[in-house]
Amino acid sequence: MINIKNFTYKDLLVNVNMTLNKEFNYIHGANGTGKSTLLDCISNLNQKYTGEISGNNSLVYLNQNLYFSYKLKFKDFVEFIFSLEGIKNYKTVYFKYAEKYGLLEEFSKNWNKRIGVLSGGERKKLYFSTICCLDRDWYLFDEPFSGVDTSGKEYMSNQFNNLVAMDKGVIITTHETEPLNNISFVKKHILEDSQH
Amino acid sequence: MRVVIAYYKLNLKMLRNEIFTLIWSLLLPVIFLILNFNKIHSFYDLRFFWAFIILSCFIYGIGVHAAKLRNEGLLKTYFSIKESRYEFFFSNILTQITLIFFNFLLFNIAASIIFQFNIFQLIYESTLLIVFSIPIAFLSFTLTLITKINATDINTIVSIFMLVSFIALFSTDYNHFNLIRIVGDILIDNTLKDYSLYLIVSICSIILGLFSLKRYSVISLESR
Repeated sequence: MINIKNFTYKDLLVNVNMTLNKEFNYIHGANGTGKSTLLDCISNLNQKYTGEISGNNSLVYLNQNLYFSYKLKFKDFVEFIFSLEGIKNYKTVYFKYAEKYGLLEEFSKNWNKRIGVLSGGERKKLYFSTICCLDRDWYLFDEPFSGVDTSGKEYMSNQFNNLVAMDKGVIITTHETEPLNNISFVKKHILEDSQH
Repeated sequence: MRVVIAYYKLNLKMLRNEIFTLIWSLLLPVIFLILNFNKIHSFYDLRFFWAFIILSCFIYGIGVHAAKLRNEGLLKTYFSIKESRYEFFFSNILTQITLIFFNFLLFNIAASIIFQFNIFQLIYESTLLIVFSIPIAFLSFTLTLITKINATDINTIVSIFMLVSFIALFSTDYNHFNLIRIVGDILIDNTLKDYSLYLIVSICSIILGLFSLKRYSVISLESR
């Protein structure tokens, strides 16, 4: 469980209290209410807040922008992320995962392609699937569905259900609520605009 | 070490695909070498060209690069997988040293053909200069401490500074505080005072660099 107590970040997020259980947590809020900032803080990357966040030791956070060249290949991304994590035989591990979700054919086809020739949705699926291969207690995603087609969203929803079934916690922000219909149980947390 | 290698391999793959970056730091020295052809009498006269290449690579490839990545929030996911500021930094030093070696090789081959200098001597002396210049890599990271100016503006200011310093080197006699000259002269420093000064400046540079590294955040200072 992640506990957020008396959390304040500048004048953006004021006195936020939230308990996130190991389930699918959807952080809802209008633009500018500080959803991404909250994820930055939960993931320990931003510590310039007051209050307390606990239970956030084992997590991985996929944000919207990554330091990666479009000239590099699909496999280079998988290799890099798995190297950071210390996973050897990256191709075997990744393909095993792809097979589990019926994506082996698609990922095999893209394996040697440059990231730049992939569609925005394919790119997102690559980042998402690679991150999901890592073993953590919590998985944080900032706008995972944006730019992803219907089948991609279905795959992501399935993945979320599986993570929760494996006793993992998921926290996402999104403005697209339709894919959430495929998720077994959604715990909604509302962020109010503290400036109004 | 595993994480340093991961970042290093990623950086090299990116560099391999960016030919302009590869030759950018070499372009200006080569032009100036051609323009100042008659001023080159011994291989030590090449030291300022080497110094320019080293400074360009370290300042842009380490300090400015880290400031840009922070401002665009591009390292968040990687740092959430592994908090790796030191590994990220040292991989960038390794990447830039590799780039400098590559540039030196091309530059030295050209210089040895044009001026009939011994290529092995050039490689030896230029490599020595790389080693002695490593504290500059640390110092360049202090650019990330600048919070009032955005990374793009830092990049522009550094470009102007480097260009003016390089031009001044060949057109005025007032270069006592010219960074390119100071770095290049490391090769000909030979008094106890010179060595002591080098040691003090190097230690201060490394301390400042490590301090900046400790304060480095992957969260953008410009946008939320």
